Amino acid sequence: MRRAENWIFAPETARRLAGVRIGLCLLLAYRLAVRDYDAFAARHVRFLPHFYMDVFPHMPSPGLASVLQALGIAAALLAAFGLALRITLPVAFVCALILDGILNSAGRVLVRDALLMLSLILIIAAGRAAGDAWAVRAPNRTGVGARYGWPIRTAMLVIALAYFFAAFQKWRYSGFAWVTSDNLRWILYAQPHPNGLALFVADRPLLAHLLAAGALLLETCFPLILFVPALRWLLIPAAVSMHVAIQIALRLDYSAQWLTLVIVFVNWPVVVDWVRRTLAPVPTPRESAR
Amino acid sequence: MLEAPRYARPFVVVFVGMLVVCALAPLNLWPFSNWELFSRLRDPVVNSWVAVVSAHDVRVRDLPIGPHTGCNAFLRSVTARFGPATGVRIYRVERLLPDGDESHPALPYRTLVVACAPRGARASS
Repeated sequence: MRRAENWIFAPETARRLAGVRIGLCLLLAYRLAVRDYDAFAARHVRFLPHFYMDVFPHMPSPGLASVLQALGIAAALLAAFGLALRITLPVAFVCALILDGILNSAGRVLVRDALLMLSLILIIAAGRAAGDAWAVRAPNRTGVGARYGWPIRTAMLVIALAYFFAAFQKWRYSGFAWVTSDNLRWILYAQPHPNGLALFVADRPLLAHLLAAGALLLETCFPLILFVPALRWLLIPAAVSMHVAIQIALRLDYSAQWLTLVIVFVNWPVVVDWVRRTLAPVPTPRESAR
Repeated sequence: MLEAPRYARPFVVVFVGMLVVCALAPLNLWPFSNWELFSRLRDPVVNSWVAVVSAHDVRVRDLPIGPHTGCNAFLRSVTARFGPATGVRIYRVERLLPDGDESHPALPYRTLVVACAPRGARASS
């Protein structure tokens, strides 16, 4: 227990937390911008409120959805710049929560943005620390400490557990038959109009079994990413590939999930320093001699 | 070295605890999901539910609906959308998946589940 606590509350830099804040806020703004919430609210007159959406007596109106969308995008962008974080971040989060609630209250609950929203809760909980660097009108501290480490590391733990629990539920409800049966083939065939990739895999039972085994192994082993940092080079690209393949074959968009994974696990100050070094002009021999 | 705030430790315990409880219970308190993504086995028969709505001036066929759609709630929503509905018939449609033979797809088979009318529902025998 002490080791787990030491891991979560290990020091990180203010710049790393700021990098995660900027990435998650830009991703949230993008997710809010690309979806047509008002059309969805207008189309789905049947309102099956999920969880907190019980506070609404009926499906929120298209007008309200449009206002929340605009407000959410503006607040998320301001939060990415680090402006008035204690207001902009919660406003962006609440707008997204209601808009996701609209999508989740038409009969089917979508997991897709859940990891993004959970990670945003942690950035909100970090308070002013999230705006200590890489922000307009910020102290631009080069601080280091657990103050910046715990939100990032808790987000890492949450992401690793999310993938693990996705595997855990497959073991729980289906067992090894999830791999050995024709389950994956039926998932691919069951679409209204399966595309070429879906049919290519579904028509080849051995390939379908191999891909099912790979996906289950990846999700089951995902928590290793926390203990063996070198495995991040293997497991993160594998998870991204899995989500992209699902997007192509099943047309299910899990980009919010895999982008959250990348944003939280990449050490952005290292990337920025590397880019600066790479792009910095090389001094000519005459300048070097001065 | 800057320390974590005092609330951070209990916050992490509650936050991660919520994640674990929702997965194990399972509870879907979004965004605390139960993570039951494709966790149950599929078989080669796909069931879907459709409604055929009769109103005064329109007849809408095969409106996709969920398996647990209740008569009264559905009648209310179709009345709001199409005007006063005179009747709604809900069918279960079974479709056998092709198993690599897309050239001879099996025809879907439909069974009447319930006929809804403003006076009340009548279950299929």
